[in-house]
Amino acid sequence: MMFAQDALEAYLKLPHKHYNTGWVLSQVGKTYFELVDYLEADRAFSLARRVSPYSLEGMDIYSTVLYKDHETALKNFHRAVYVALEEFDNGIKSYQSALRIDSRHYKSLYGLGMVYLHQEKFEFAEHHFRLAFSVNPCSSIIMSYLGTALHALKRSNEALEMTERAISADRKNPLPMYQKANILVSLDCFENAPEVLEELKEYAPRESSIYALMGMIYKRCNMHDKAMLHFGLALDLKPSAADVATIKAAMEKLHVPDEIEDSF
Amino acid sequence: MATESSEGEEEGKLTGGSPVLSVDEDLREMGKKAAWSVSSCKPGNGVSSLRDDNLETYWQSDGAQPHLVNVQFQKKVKLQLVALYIDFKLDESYTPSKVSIRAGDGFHNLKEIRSVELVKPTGWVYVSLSGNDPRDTFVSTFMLQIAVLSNHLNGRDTHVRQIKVYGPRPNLIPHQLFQFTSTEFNTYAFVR
Repeated sequence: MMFAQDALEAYLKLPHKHYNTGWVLSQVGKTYFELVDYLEADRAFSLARRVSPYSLEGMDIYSTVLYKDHETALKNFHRAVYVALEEFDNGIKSYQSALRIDSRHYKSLYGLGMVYLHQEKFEFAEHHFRLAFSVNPCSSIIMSYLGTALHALKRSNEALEMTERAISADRKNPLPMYQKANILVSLDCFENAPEVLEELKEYAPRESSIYALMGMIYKRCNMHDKAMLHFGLALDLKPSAADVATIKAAMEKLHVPDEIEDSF
Repeated sequence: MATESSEGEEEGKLTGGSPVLSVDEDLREMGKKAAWSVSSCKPGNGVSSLRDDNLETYWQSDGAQPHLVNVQFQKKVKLQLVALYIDFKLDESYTPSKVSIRAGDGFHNLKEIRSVELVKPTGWVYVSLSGNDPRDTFVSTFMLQIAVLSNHLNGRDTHVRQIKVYGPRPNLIPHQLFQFTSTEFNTYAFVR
């Protein structure tokens, strides 16, 4: 399942008679799941169920895919992540016990990386993301967070390199693009960052953080009108109360030079 | 907002009280990260009774007014809401009537940021720390002090059954300035 793309291609080459069996369709569903393509995963699993309704193969993952309301599912999932991250010690324990059973359980390695990232233990975070990355070298999400850890460690060139790898690993994943813009801003590369963000806007036009970050960049470049425009757009997209406070404060202090570094 | 759900709030007067604690999803309880202390207490009704999630137990002061609850954090935190469980039906003259909420770096520079009058509430009452300006949504502070200035029916000592303090949830994705709002971004935010 690690080389999900290769696996998928192999499955798709199978003759119809073999492809349309419950087992293969379930594997295809699992593969799409690993590739973060939940719609295709749903399709494959539902076909698998039609072909062999009594097979349990992959049904655990199908149940994860089957939240019809994607947004609600995400919300529930995020709530679970919060609990895991806020109870650091418990989180660490459960990941470690999973790793005792399977030392290559990359989701636990990644989970530990996330906990350490939240605790601002960036060396530990980097170490665990690297382990996760060595087990699963195809996950754009893991690469992206490895980039985050490197960025936090102020190893900007390595961070940028890893972020670029994350971008090419999955063109549909917008996060490393956003992170690239973040890193560029922290390196004072103000010319290139807006370009990256403009591209992201097309992909996720309702993503408030893109406009907010653009506002910050234009503010830093003393382009006040553009900054105001983007802050306004960011606010229209209903950011969290904490972000509303940050954005309004930035608007208020538009003409006061700020230390954007502080916030990154 | 939780503050709006508590009945009959006008000009710092809080009446009613809700039987069930209900707080905005964006908020998280911050009190567990703090050191709690009180100005005085009756043996067996100490500071732990304020934090035991048990509405049957209560803190009872044992000294001169004002009665103080001190909440000290290790680092500066953002706070937005204080929830108190008060029970006039059971506690009568022990029920706080005037409460002042103060913030500061430590005991030496506490300043009042809110004052409320409680009118015979039974249940959870919510005191928002937010100002009218969105930039003043939170209070950034090392310490919060909840001071009971007076009780109903001129009671001397006070009973408070629970106190919770809330602040905004931190960004789920560390080291990033803004939180994501779109499904496109959130889909990729975590390995599942």
